[in-house]
Amino acid sequence: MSMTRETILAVLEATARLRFGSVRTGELAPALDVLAADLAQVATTPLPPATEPDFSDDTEPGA
Amino acid sequence: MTTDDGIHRLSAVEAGSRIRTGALSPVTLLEACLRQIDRREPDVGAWVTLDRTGALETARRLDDEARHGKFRGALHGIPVGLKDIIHIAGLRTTAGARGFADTAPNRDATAVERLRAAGAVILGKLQTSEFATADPASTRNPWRLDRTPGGSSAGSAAAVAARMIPAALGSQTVGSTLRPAAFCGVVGFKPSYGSISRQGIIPVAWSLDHVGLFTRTVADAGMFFSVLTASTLKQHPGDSTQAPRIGLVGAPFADRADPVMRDHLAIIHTRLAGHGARIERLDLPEIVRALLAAVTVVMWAEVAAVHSELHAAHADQYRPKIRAAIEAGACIPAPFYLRAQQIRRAARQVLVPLLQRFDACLMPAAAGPAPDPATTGDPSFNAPWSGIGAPQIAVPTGLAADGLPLGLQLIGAPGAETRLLAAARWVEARIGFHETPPGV
Repeated sequence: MSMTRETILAVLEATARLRFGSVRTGELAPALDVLAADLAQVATTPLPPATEPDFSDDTEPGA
Repeated sequence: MTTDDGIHRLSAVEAGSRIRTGALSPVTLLEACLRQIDRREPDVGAWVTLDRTGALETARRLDDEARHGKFRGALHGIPVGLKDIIHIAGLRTTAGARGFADTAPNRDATAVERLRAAGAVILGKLQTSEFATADPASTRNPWRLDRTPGGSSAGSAAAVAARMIPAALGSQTVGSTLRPAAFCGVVGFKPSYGSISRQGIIPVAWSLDHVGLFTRTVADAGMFFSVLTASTLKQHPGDSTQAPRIGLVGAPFADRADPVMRDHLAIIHTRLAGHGARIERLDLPEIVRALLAAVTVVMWAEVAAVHSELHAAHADQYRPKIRAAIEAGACIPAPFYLRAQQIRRAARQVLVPLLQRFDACLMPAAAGPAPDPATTGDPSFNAPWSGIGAPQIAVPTGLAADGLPLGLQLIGAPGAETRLLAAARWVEARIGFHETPPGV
């Protein structure tokens, strides 16, 4: 997943505008900025081969 | 006994022992706790719902049973409070969200069933940040009313610290048990992921949510853990007397703590070594930085999923921080969420063997003492261990110059609660923290 923080932030802002409108997207700017940094970290961290998702098949959603 | 005989200050183990021998009755204990609540609640504000009538009825039944030599279990007659995201049959669950949640469930959470079966007296519901996230609750820190008790389990930590009750249940998604425990000078124990049922508890982020315990001693935490998991803690060979092997966590947390906490950690580390603890510095691998980011990504995505319907209908009724988390989380592309879960798994594979080398790993439970009440404090010291589902326990270890408590945390490998609690008891006994907040 080779996306820069700036690209990720643009994706988040575009999605937020579609879902919540321009005014609310402006209000969300600090949260989206923090999230973009975390997503960039997640996207650029190398993983061992064949790492499976976890914590998603043995949980109690809605419990 | 007088009204100020100190009964409300007894630990759960001590009170339970007196009840077993007939030296103390459940009603006397409950009434002492209620008097302390009456004294401190106007300042602290720990409670949402206090079920005096129901608790007294239960205590009278338990009194009668005790007089006939019948004891339901380890918690016979012990008053307990619950974070207000945990369902109690017949009492409203607000989740700290006055805008919506105000219905009374018709059955107990599984954890509550276990407490009742062991003889606990369920006293009521304790304050939480809205939906157990980041908007601060109105509760104040018993040590200094102008400081936060932490969050999100604010009422649970404050009530135990103020000696209103010997124990309370809370929860932890990122740092909501360890951090408030440290800020309030009590023991906060978050066992391994999945070890205590979350059925009947309003979720924050289901793959990160844990039930947490607040007590005043490590022994009490072990007793409640045994009850809630229906397990019997085995005596570890090193229990309380044999000095543990401790990993002193360095990078990436060594420089993140406040100077007062860094100095405190150095003092405690030296004292523990002087008592014979075998201490070895443990720098965590680089993947921990990615784990911190992954925990935030997973939490926000799952918060958005949990609240999607409620948010669609009532967005403007949420408080600002949780609303922002829901809306930002709803924008996370699915591949990023899945990759964040992969990072958690990869980090767990790397970190668990490191944790297994030690009886416990030691680091601050929070960056420093409790900050002002505008926030609930920084949960990043707890986040990696929530992220891999490892057990953690916060132990109060001293006071800062301003009189606020400082707490360190011990971390164990997933499933290694017995070994972790033995190390924590050893540390607790050597440090000997006995200070109390004003008015107790």
